[in-house]
Amino acid sequence: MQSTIKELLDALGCNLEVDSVLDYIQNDPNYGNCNLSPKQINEYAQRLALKASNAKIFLKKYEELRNRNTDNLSDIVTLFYKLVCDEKKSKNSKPRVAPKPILGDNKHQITKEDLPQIKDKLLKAVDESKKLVMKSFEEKEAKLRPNWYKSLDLPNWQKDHPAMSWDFPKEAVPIISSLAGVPIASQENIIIDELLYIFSGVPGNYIVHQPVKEAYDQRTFLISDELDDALKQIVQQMLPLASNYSIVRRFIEHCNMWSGQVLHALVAAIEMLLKDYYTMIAQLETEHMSSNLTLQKLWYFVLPTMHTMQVLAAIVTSIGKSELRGGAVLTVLHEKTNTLMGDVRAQEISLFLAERACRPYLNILDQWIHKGTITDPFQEFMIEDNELINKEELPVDYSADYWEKRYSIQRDRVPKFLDKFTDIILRTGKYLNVISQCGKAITKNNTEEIKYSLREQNYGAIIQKAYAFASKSLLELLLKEYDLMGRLKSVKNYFLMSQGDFIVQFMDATEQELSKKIDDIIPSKLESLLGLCLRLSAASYDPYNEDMRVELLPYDLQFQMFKILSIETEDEKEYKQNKDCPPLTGIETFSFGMEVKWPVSLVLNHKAIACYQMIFRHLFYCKHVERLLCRVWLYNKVVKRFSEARLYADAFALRQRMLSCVQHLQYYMCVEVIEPSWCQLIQSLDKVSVQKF
Amino acid sequence: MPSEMITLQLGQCGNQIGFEFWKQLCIEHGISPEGILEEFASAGSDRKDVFFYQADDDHYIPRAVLLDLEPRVIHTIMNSPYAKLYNPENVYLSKHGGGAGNNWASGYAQGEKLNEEVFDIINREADGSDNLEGFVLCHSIAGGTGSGMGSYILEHLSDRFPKKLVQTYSVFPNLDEISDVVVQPYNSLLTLKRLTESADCVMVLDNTALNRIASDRLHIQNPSFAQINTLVSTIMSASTATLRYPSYMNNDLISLVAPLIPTPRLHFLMTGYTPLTADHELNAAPKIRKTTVLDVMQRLLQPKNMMVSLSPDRTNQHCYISILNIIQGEVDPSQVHKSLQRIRERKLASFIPWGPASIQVALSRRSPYVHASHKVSGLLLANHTNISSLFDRCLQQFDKLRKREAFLEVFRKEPMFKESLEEFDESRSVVDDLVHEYQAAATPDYVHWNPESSQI
Repeated sequence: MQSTIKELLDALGCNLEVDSVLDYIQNDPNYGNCNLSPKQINEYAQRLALKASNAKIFLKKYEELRNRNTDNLSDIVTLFYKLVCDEKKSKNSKPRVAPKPILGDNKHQITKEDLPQIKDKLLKAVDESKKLVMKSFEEKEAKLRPNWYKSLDLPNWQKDHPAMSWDFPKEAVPIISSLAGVPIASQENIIIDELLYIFSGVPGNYIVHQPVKEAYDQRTFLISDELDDALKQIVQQMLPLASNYSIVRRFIEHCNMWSGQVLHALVAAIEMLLKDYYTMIAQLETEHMSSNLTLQKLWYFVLPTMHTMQVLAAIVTSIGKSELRGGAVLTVLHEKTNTLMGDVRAQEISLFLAERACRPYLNILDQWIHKGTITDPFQEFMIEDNELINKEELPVDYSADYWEKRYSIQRDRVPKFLDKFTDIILRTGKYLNVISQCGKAITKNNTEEIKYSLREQNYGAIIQKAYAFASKSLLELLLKEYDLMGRLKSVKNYFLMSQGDFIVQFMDATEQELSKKIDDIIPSKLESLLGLCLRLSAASYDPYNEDMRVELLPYDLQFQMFKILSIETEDEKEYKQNKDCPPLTGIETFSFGMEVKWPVSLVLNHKAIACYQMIFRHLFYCKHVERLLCRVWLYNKVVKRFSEARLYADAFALRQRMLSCVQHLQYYMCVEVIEPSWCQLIQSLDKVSVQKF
Repeated sequence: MPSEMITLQLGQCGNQIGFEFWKQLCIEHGISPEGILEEFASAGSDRKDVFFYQADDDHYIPRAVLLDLEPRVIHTIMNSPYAKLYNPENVYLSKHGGGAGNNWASGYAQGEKLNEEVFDIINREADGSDNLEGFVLCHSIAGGTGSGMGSYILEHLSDRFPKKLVQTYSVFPNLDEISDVVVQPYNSLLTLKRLTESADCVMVLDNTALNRIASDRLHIQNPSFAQINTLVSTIMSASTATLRYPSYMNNDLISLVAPLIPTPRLHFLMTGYTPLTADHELNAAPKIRKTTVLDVMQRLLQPKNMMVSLSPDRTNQHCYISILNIIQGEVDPSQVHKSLQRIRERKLASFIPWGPASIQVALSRRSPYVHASHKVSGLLLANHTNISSLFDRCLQQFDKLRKREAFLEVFRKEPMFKESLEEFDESRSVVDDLVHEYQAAATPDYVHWNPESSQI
């Protein structure tokens, strides 16, 4: 990807550092989700070209990259386009944070005063990103190659012994012999001999290869001028076979130990096909020895093979040119197989290659979705295990991180045919992983092996099944062993206030403490009151009441909500500043907290608890208001002995309206929102546990 | 530390309904007549400590004070299987044992005489609870003890515990029958004054309506006291259900009562309950009836299910001040929402023009230990301006007697009325004011009342 960006940037004619753009792209939330049609992308490219310093170069580069099948090309182009256009729109606004204003081709739009600033920023950004990228690159490199690699003294056969190659030699060989004066019949004989050599990658005397500039260029050949024109014509027709063979060979020999299992498998599959090819050459030679072969006959025999080789060459070119590995290779193979629909023979080959190449990948997948482990020595699998640390030595926030970060999907490694299932696959393994982290064995028999096929239903069904199994097992584990329901119930009891008597009791007990200013509150006092209330109310039957905590948050609910919604207009700013003035009272800052242990913390993670806390604080405050109004009512009741009681009716009616409002609001929240949602949750949990696999 | 309630049972009627109430609570909480928690009820999520406390030997003891001036009813209770349930120290029988002779003045005077001993018991009970929320007083307003002594206690409860709620379950006499208590109109009126001025919330239980419901709805000819009292205990247990089975809301009495009573004087609440089943029906041929939330809520608004018999509202100017429905059973909240909408669309209930006009709903669990024959049952607590017609009738009956100066001798015997009968006139004017206030509450300018303008 880096190289792609670099090439595009060069073509655009801007002096921007690749790394900073890369950095920016990776931070872009939309990255990887670009689902524009190719047509739109083309259009973007065209428009970008208008802005580029040299439109032609840019377009050419773009075409080239597209042909090379570069992944993320569409993303990059879209991003560039957006950057350029955004820049135009926001011309008058303040300079944005790096790296937007860095784009070179927009420099003319920036005023002179900004220049030194921009320069500074640019330098800083580039410096930082450079360091970052380098670091991560080194780390990756180190990870990819295990320690023993350094001690392993692998001989570099290709360099030391170029003659070992099954391809044509690197250097050109001159035509040494002359065919002048040789009769046509003999010429034919000689040239058949010659062709058979050429077909297996050996330069001949009258037909010699030319060196190639790029690794996957078509190889051209020089044919002796003295050859008869008619023969030459036929030879010319057959030479693409040799050229394609050469490409395939180059691809095979280019593949090394670190290319990964997928490429290894692919190469092995190609070798199998080539074996047939060599057999055919050998048979042709035998035929030739017994003088049964004419050039026409050779042409006839070779014709089907030529087609095969052409297909092979096309496939390996598209893979080799963009230096794909792992899942991306499979994507190319899958797409090729699909596009070759009309050509039965070619499709067969492509399918064969795809199937073979998929095997190691699908094996990893198999392990992952059935056992939750990744055996991926060459970093090819779509899911990367970032495990660096042990569970024991982790911070409190472990579970959230574990869930979110430990396994990450590498978008560019996802084969296209598994694209739909990416999420499911990730979760399947994660679930299994959690189960084994909990010290449970994953008991699973009769798992089906995943096989590549053009139709998706096959592996789709297996993945779905594995997913269902994994999620069911995990759910069962959570529900049965770790009593998730009990936990949820206690969340409902305390945070959602369904344990009303406890709340009333708690509010009675802490009333004094909570009416103080936040700095005067003694948390330990609240804590002990909480414990007391928990023991005395009906909440004492809850086995998890020990895990309840008291939290005093330094901000009130509204502030928190605004923060989350991040409303940033002038009005809100003013509001916030005003808000800072009076110190918060206990009622405003109070919230329950809850200690959740692994693995229930996967479900009730910090985020979830924070959400519950917000709901709680709102309910709590409503309750507080209700209680205040009730207290007013209690003070008011003495009025009834006065004969003039009705004079107060107006005020009482107002109090009544307020009370009614608060109570109706609470009723709505509790009975019409929380309770039905809870019922729904219970129902769907029940439904899941009933299902059998 | 919950919001405890202390129950005071006064007189024959009060002790009888109280007895039924405790019986019902024991069944609902799985407590045996001896006060021992049944095994099946050991892990309940209910709150027993609102109405009970635990003795040293873990027995559950009701926070109840039983008071009477004559021994008959209390003796019956003490000879029942529930005898051991009560704290014997809380059972107070007047030593002189002659009762109040259905005379309010006698009851009041005896209340005054015994006040030290009675309030000793009440204070001890109050001290025994951590966070007392209030008192529940069960009595009838027609007799002697319940009305007279009840009045005395009411007056002094609100003095001694000004921040506590005082709720009464007051049984109003049957006005259809000619009562054997001839001074009943006097008793009622004098008690009504105290209920108006000293109670915070009065649950009006009208014997007229209770009898009518027993015969019409439950098909019992000549219903017995016990059968009527079962009706009352059903209402009492249902109206405290949200306190005993805590949920999101209405977990203390005040949050239940405050929205119903917008201004302090208008605190006379009607009740309704549906569906009702009598014991003999349950055993014979249980009627299968479909109960839906809408069904229950609609039925609760029908006058025939109301436990108060009101004069028909001919001018059609009366309306609800507030309504609270306590719905028990398996209820889908969305059904409640739909039902409320239907009721609003059909305008089944008209509300006061000066306040928030809507039916409040509280959902409550039911006791897991009581088999319910219906999926949904509902209790209605309503504050209706037409309850003034009940007081109006009391006034009329009072006036009839008062005009003839009938039966006043028994009152004159007591020191309070020896000098003058002012107390009668004062009480009459208080009740009359109440009637007017209720009538005014149905009009939009209730809240803009001005004493000068009304006097003109």
